[in-house]
Amino acid sequence: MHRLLAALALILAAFLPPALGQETRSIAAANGTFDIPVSPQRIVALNDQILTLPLYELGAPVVGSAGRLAEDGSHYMRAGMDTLGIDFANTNIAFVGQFNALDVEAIAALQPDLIIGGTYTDPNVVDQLQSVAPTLVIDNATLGLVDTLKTLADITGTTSNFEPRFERYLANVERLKSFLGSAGDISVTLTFMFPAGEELWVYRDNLGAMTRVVADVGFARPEAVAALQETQASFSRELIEELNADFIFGFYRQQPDATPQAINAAYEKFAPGWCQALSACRNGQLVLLPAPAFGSTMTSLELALELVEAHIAARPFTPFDEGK
Amino acid sequence: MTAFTAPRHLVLRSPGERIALRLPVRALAALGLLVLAIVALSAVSLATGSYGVSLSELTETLRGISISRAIDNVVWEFRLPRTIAAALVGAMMALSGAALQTVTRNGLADPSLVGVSQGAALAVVALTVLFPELSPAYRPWLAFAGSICVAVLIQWLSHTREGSNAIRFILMGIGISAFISSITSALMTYGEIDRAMAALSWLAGSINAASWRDVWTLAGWSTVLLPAMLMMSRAMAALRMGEAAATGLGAPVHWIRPVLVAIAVGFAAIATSVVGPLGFVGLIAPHAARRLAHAGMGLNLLITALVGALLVGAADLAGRALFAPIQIPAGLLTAVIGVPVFIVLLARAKTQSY
Repeated sequence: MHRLLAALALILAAFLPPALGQETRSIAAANGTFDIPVSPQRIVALNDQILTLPLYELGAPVVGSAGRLAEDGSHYMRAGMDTLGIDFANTNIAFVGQFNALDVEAIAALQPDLIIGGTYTDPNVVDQLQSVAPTLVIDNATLGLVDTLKTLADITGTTSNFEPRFERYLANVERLKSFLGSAGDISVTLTFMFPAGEELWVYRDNLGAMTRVVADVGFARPEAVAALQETQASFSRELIEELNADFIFGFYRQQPDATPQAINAAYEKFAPGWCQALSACRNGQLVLLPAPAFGSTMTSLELALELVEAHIAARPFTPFDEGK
Repeated sequence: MTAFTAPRHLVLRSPGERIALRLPVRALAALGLLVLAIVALSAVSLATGSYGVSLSELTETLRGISISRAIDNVVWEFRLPRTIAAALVGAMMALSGAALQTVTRNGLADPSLVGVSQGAALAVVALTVLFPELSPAYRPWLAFAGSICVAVLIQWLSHTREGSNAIRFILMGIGISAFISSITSALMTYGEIDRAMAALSWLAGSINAASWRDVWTLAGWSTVLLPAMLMMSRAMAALRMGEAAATGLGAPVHWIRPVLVAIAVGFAAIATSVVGPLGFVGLIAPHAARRLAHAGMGLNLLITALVGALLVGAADLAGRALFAPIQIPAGLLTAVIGVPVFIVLLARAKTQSY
């Protein structure tokens, strides 16, 4: 009799949609409050870099993800190989289209019990996907990196994986502060350049792990950067001297052709004589960091902190003197 | 009562012979074939997708027999509204192009060439980027407002003391379109990145997320605008011969022109508000319809609508199925499919209509 009941239960479970067979709880997201499984087993993430990588890192069961298209038409996870060594080819994560052109049927075919998107996801697609599984919108721009990671850990039931790692990060921040003495006396500018060298972006906030580390350690910013109304701005080449600081950081590896040489050449193309105009560059304190340092994962946060420590605390440097 | 007067025409007369229609057989055949093609395309569209649904499962689901919640969802919520929306959008863009080509007497007139689509696009992008908290339900109204503002501006700028000039209208349209597109680009570049991303997928002209709400919006406006356009078909036929000839033939040109422009704007604005700008449909479909079969204006408009529906339906099906799960926006495919077709049609044409 017991065997018969067990067999019946198994058969029923096989035919039930994933979410129906699970205990649920209520959770608030940017697009409302939803009942989601306490421990989701089949998650589809609607952005690779911002959602899939942190979810994978947290140990959440991601079965599908949005991705990007390479020039040859193949698909990949942005920053996946570079940050965590993962891609669609070496995981069981299925490609479900580009983050701004999703294949809703491919998502439905994966029978997810939870779908996670962002404010960049087409609201009409989010509405459609609600009929497949609870579809949560996470406003990562408003939450910031750490609160986004906390939220993802919370909704996927992986907080126990996140907390110890985050505590270790905070302890390492304190260690760096003790090395530096007064971090607020050291100024830092965060810039972003593409190999084309057509625009220079300057970030006050919202550049993934890197802006979080700069804020956590408590570095100062040049007035022009601190005064930016938006989190980032395309900066005029005529005003680059306003970016001068003790350290200026830039990035490479954000795309296949973004080699350190190409990015350095791009700065020069954008503003010829750039390096001579900025004391940080003249003194060898313009530092290019690999792209994972501005990523959206705990790995990125740890990497950014280590790189900042190595470049600022572990060597002597020439302070920026506004009078010179 | 029906009688054949000649092998190439079918004449329909009402009892008492108060109304009579003389319909070219070839045009009727083209109309029938287009209807069949759209039905066939819709069947293929419903049977094709990333979610495996067999033909028997599809048939059962369409008959209202539920195979599973997931299949019900895929067929009723994803594929069917998308297929219908694609056809409606195609028909609306085609009719908009037909109306504009008639009013301007210029075969180059198209909603995207004379700024109407760009006006709608600017309004919707501004809504998405600057006022994200506003409901998408405002989209059709704002798109219509954006389009009508641009249409009025272009009409006003192209009006001279000698009256309206078709070439001036087209050139003004192209100029204003470029100006509006640059404002839209600025909004996309300097707006908040997430909002710009949301607007970007819409700007590509994608039917990806069409829902029943979109279908009702498109169908509702079509049921108002199409009969209005058909009622003016006689005056439109006269207008094709020029304003002076149309006035001589008794067509009320002074109000037909602005009303036709309003209808053209309405069709394009509503379609654009739902799926984003779809280029070339309004340009190609009227030309293709004229070359498929010569017919009176009313029948020609119906053929034009069906050609547009077929074109966008095929573009959407190809875009979502050929390289799935990669989704290619229908707007990109209408351009890729449409331009060569347009060139071939022009090359084959012995004479130009305009």
